[in-house]
Amino acid sequence: MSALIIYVLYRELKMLEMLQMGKYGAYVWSSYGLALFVMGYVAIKPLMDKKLIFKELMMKYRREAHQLSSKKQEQEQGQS
Amino acid sequence: MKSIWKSVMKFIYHFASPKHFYRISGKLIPWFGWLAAMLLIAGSIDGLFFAPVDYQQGDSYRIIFIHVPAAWMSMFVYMVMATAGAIGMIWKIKLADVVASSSAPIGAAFTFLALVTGSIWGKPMWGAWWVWDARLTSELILLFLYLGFMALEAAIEDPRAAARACAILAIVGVINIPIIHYSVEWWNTLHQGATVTKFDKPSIHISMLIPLLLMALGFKLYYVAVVLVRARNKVLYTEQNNSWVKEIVKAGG
Repeated sequence: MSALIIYVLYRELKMLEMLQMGKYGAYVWSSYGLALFVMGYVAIKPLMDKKLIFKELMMKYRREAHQLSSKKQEQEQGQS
Repeated sequence: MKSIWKSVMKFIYHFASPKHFYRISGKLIPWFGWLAAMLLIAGSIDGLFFAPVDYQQGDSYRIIFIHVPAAWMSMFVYMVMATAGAIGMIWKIKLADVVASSSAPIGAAFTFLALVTGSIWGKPMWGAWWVWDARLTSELILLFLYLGFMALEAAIEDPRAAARACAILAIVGVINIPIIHYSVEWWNTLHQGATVTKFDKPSIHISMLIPLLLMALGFKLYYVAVVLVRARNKVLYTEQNNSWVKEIVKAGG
């Protein structure tokens, strides 16, 4: 049991050591974090835009179909 | 000879047709996307945890695995943008204009990353966030060129005129690319010289070169995936009155 605790603590210390990157942790991790954020945003934004485009075009097509059918109705009423 | 050229042009015009481009790019994007993700994860883990510590810079040099690929991409994407703009102007292929316009924000993002990670790296190593040395200054000008491209496109109403103006801007700005590359040779710079992109064996250890190349390839595939997504959106929107678009939108994907 105590061996397990010692092992886990040792792993944690190694982890902390790695995260510190010598004394440059702040510089290294902020660079990688910024890269992740910027590249994530640049990749995800067009995927979100695609959904918006589909919505907008769908509404436009519905409106056009509606206008077309109401025009047809007017024509038929005009003839009768 | 003339008929070979004719059939090549027919091939290009066929795939440059918006409808075919939309269909084919839809199939390609997941491949490029997932491959890019895997390469970027593998490269980052290798670079952060497995590449050896530098005897001069310690662990801070690990920023290189973001900084250098981003800088390479900032230049590569600009060349794609300028070439696509030229093709669009010369052969009046609308898809080329779409690719140029779709590339600009991605290139700007890479340039921004290269500049900022370089600055973050420079602070502990050089003691300065910024110096007006040739490499840094010309890369900053590259960022202004990208932003100029995007601003010019937004400022001109007619899409064809906008594409033409932006293409000219991109082409004129190409001169900046060899300036960036050779700046460390031509001038007395603080930024270090070329270790990989030169006509000689790379002067970097293989254990550091591998994560660098993994990240470089990952960034490239990422660019292709993202530019295709953006281009598809533009194509769909511009061609919205065409029946093939109506079919796709009504089908939901």
